[in-house]
Amino acid sequence: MNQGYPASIPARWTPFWLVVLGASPVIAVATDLIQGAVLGASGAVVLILAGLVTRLARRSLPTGALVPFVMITAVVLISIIGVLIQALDPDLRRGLGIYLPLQAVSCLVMALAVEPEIKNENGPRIRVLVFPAVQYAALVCALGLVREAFGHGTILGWPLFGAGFQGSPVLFLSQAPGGFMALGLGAGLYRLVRQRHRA
Amino acid sequence: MKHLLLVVISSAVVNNVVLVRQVGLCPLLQGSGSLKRMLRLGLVITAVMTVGVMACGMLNTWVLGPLRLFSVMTLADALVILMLSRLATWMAVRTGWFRSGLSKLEDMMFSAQCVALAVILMAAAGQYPVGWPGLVFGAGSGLGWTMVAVVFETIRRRLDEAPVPSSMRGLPIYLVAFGLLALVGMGLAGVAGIE
Repeated sequence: MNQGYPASIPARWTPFWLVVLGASPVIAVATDLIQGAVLGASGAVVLILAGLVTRLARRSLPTGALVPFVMITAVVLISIIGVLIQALDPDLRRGLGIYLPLQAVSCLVMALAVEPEIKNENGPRIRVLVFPAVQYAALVCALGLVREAFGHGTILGWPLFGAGFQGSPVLFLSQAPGGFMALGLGAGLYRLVRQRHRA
Repeated sequence: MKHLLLVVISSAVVNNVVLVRQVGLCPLLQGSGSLKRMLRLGLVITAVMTVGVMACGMLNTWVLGPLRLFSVMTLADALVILMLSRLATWMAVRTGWFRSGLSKLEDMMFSAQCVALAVILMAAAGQYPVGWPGLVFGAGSGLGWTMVAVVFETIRRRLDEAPVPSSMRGLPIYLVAFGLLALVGMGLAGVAGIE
């Protein structure tokens, strides 16, 4: 299923599945390219670093302590990222609101601890973490781009349809229901392309 | 009393935690396989949220706030939620309330932890004080989540039986259906004068 993936990545970790695992912040605040990029990058960083720390500490952790350990690591990482964003761009941090800390307890991060195909080994290797993390970040970024372009009619604040254009092309897309539909239709299109490619 | 009633309507319906705030989606999209099981999971999560909002409110207001430890509040809240989830899971299985086994409930509670933390962060952001308003906000949010979970479980069953194109079957059509459900949620804005 995952052609081109390292063999040890679980087969169901397709890009859309990963985004759905961290769907709450993505749908709620990835409404433009900048917020999508920041959210995608922070999710990727947390996924990679929390996975690496877990790999290093896994052998010395008692049974049952893995989930709290992953959670604490992810919350600490996301708190540091939140402070950095606050220092660089307070408006952006305000825009991300409660959804930035929620990335730390999303299923995306928790999947590290409970995914049997990763759990059985000594812990996830870096390439096993980097591939899905980069795909997650790229897809969240793309979703932000599509929602900004069609929801607001701009890219990075630059108008796409000329000065004479009034209003938004598809305002619906910049809101939560549009986010669900864009993600659903994107997942369907992705699957259709894969089916055609395989046939 | 009227204020508490408005808090319940606001948290459960008008500002529904799933339809309007878009948190706690994973367990809904993942599904539980049975309507009864989803209802029970919803009630377990409601209990965790209600107790969690109170416990975290007390911790933040009376311990971490006076010590000016604002940067560790999220971490402390996440740990409280983790402990409460574990406790609720253990109790639900121990008392026979959830008969499908510990591992199934544990998996579902993992994915539900983010909704509990979100409600606590929302309670802090919405300035719901420790006491009845906070308690009612937690319970209302949990009941709102349970209501959507049960409705969506029913929709999932119908979608599984519907003649959907193979590329849209499963997750893609669930997301599109959820988009339509979220539209309904948006339409509830302004009910009882609550924005």
